[in-house]
Amino acid sequence: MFPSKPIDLLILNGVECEPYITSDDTLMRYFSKEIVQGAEILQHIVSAKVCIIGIEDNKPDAIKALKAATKDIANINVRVVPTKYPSGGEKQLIQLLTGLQVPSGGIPADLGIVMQNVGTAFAVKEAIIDGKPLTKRVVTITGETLKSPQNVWAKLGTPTQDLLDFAGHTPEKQQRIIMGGPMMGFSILDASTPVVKTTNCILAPSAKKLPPQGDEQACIRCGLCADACPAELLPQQLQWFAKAKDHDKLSEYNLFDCIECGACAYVCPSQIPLVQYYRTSKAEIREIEQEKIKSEKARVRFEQRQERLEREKQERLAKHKASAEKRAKALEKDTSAKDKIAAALARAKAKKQASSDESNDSVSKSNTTTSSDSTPATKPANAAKDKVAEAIARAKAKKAAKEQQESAEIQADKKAQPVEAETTSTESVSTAEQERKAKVAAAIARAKQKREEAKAASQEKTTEAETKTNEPEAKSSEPQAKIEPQIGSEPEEETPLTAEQIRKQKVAAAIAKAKAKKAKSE
Amino acid sequence: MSVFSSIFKSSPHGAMGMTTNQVMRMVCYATIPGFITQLYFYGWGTLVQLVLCIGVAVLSEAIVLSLREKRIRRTLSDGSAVLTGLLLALSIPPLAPWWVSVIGVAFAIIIVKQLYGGLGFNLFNPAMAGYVVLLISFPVAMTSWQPIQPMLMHTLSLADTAYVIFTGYSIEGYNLQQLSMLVDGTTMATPLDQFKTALAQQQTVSEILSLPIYGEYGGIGSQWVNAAYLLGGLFLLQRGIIRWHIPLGMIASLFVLTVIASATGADTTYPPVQQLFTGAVMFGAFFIATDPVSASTTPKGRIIFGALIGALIFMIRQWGGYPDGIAFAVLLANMCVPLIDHYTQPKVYGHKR
Amino acid sequence: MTAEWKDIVLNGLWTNNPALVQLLGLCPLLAVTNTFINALGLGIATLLVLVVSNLTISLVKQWVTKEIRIPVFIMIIASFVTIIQLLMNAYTFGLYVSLGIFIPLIVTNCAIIGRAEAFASKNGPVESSLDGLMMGIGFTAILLLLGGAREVLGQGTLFDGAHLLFGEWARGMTVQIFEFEQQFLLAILPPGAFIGMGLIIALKNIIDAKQAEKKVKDVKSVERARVTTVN
Ligand code: SF4
Ligand code: SF4
Repeated sequence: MFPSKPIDLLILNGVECEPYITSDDTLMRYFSKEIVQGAEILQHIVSAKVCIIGIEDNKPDAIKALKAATKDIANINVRVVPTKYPSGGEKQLIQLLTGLQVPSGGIPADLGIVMQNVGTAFAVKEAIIDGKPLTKRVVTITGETLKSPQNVWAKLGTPTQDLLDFAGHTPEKQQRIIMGGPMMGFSILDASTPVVKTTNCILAPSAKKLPPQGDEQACIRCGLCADACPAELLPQQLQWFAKAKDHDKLSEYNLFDCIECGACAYVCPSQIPLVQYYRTSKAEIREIEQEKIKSEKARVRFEQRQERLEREKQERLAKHKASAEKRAKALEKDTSAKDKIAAALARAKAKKQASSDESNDSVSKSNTTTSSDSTPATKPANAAKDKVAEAIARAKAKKAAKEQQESAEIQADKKAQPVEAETTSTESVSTAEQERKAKVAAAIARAKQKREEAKAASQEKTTEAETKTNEPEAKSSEPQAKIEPQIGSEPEEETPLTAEQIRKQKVAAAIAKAKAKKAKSE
Repeated sequence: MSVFSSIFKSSPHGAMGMTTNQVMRMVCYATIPGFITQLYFYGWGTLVQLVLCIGVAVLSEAIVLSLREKRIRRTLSDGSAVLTGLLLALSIPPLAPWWVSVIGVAFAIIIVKQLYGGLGFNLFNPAMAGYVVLLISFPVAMTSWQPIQPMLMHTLSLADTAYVIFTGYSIEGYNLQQLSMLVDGTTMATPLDQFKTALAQQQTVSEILSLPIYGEYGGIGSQWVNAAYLLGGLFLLQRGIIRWHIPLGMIASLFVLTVIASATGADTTYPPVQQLFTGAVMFGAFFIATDPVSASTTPKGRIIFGALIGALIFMIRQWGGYPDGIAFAVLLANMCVPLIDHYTQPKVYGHKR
Repeated sequence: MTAEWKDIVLNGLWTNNPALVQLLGLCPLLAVTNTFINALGLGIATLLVLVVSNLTISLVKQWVTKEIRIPVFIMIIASFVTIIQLLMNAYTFGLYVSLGIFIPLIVTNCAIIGRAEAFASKNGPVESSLDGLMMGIGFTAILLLLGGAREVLGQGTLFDGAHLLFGEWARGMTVQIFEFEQQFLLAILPPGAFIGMGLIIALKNIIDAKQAEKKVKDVKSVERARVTTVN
């Protein structure tokens, strides 16, 4: 990840993110030397020619301290910016200091700028010069319900309650505790919420000083929000579109350039929770996009799978043809056993059936774990019978799974329920025929098996038995072996199944199993 | 481990404190200087109209809200209905019959505001739409502003005024026409009307302006009324309730056009200052055109919106059939708002255009 | 057969009312409905043209090829309009004058050509005449409603100018409902027609919505009953 441009400028952000917070201020006042050292290290790393430290004009002490610390360093400047929320935002500070705007969707590095917080510079110094890991940070504990609001070094992981107790917190009715500032912080519900790396402030305001937003009223298009918006959006237009869920318009009005600073909602006389609307809409749009990507992926996967199935079918047909020809030749040579011809033909037929069952079997084994799991190890006595039934069941499960996948692609997830029902019903219609076929095949297989049982005792798979007893067949099992790995490769493609799909497959498999049982009992 | 309040709202966790209700109330207060001046010059009529209009406005809003099954109390408390009634009361001739005010206010609230969806959804300025309906429907009643009180033969007490408004006759049995009689027994039209008629009679502007109904800076009453509204408007500006864009755009364009017209054209235009202090220019600029709902919302758009109104007022006064055109101008400009807004969107941070 | 007829009747009068639903023929609708009698005059004229043109078109439809059907329809309609115009000129001259250009303009009334195209050219003469009659009545009803309302609101009278349509004896029919000092001009001027029309359409939508609601309720209760019997 290299920036598109060489970095010319390192900006240290000494502008407090939000009102109430003074943690950066404290850090700059007492640790200006360390911050400057950190800045030099950072400057070296990103090879920036100049470093600017931006500080708001309401922090004279911090300005003095840093000016003193950078007195002798030529390429680190301290710049004072007016105190106006949200100048502490990355993009806003860059504009304030350089007059440049970070392009929409871009990062400051596109302009050759890197911005770090003063806290980061301090942590860099600690880490590189002193070799200390980041285990604590300055946290502002403030609010009208505290006896002694202050800045403290808080170990990461300190519960909020401890900090509040430390500052002498007397909760009022319906006390709100906000982690972060009043504009962008979030209310916490649980006092054991720990301090983390990004916790710059714990705010325990009184309801009087920071009244919770009242009831939302109609937007009167007063435009105060637009005046306040640092991204120069039109919040009230966005609000209309957000309420109407007009996602195209939202994008057209650049919803995604909103930095959720809250300035608009703060000034809104109708007390509309504008930011909340934007967050909801952003989440909706993101979800829709993800859904699109997902369905696109599913489509590609489905197409690839179709292609592969088609290819395999062709290959199998070719193999069968070839082996049939070989057998015919071999039979021509071996004229001694005429009655064997009939048997071989029957076997070939059975084989065809069995092998196709077999291939499905292995596919479904890898595909749906439950269907194979739930069938216990079969006893040799009716092993073959069970296996055939199992194979049928699996084939059906497989088919159902495939249909499920298709429908999952076409239909939205929510609609899956009716679709599922539909699939099962169509299946039950179509399977009557299949079952009949499968039963015929099973009968043939069973007949064969009995005959082969006489010849060979150990039977684990129909195919194996055939490989042993029949020479031509043995040859034909070789291509099968070749097919197997291809089939085996399927799980890799199938693994990114969502939990949803797996669940559906399981359901389908269960249905198939039930049907198989029914078929068996018949 | 304690659990905090479950008021779990998205950030920001506070508000500036100025609510819509307060904004509306502030606008109402700012009309006080103008209102008092109107009382002084035009008698008690304005007060009666005020009570009547606000009452009807609140009542019709409540009726519609109950039909729409909305929360009546809360919506009424936003004060927008009161403001609409107030503004209309201030623009209606003080002695207009009661049913004129009732029809105007009911139309403004029910049709123009609530049928479009209530506060925030109306395309047109309700007060002005109501005014225009009245002007079209009852041109006579709506244009018969009385001359200012000091010049009148009969001045009315409060009770007498109410009597006139509700019955058409004063207690002594004078009708409106007789009540408008000047001290010398003649009648006189409003300054703007007079200007038009006099121009048609080939009088020059300076001749017309020397008539007794004209003061130094405009109509003898209306110059002070305008000044009072200017004062109220400046108060609103100072309080940050309205922004300067619309009033300035409107006054500037009206002024500039008048200067150009009087410098180049024939002798048919008001002198620029008189233009601004006659009729309802200041009232319109600070109280009507700045209605946020029906005005443009982008900064640039607001200037254009204001300038458009100013230009339209000039055109209507200069060439139109009606003596004053603030209401028409505002409504016409309201129609252009979506277009203006569309083409004046501010440049979003990080976008090059 | 009767069900189909019922459909035609219902369509013309309510569900597919040319003025309220199809919003056709609005130009005369809005222009001449300033009094009840004007509305009635134009309504009757339109009604007659609708019936006879629908009938004629359905009779000749098999000889009219698709390509030239519109000119043919217009010719037929225009002839009838001319007849009506001449008749009105002869018998109700006052009304003829007060309706003015809107009588010949009936030719271009989309409601008429619309029915010709959508119905008469596809159905038999009996149905077509019925359709024309019902559409005409539906149209006239709205004209009358709007005309009556505007007249009452605008000048406080009803049936003003009845003598123009019915002759001198009808002069006495005029009813003075209110006495205004000043007319409520908005109602008489075209904007009043638009607003009134909007309100009438809104009213119809309200009624439809209420009925739909009722239907849904009925269906629901029936369903619930069935569920209980199954279980
Ligand atoms: S500040 Fe609030 S009321 Fe004003 S335009 Fe913005 S969203 Fe609407
Ligand atoms: S939260 Fe509001 S003010 Fe802040 S960037 Fe977004 S729209 Fe603008």
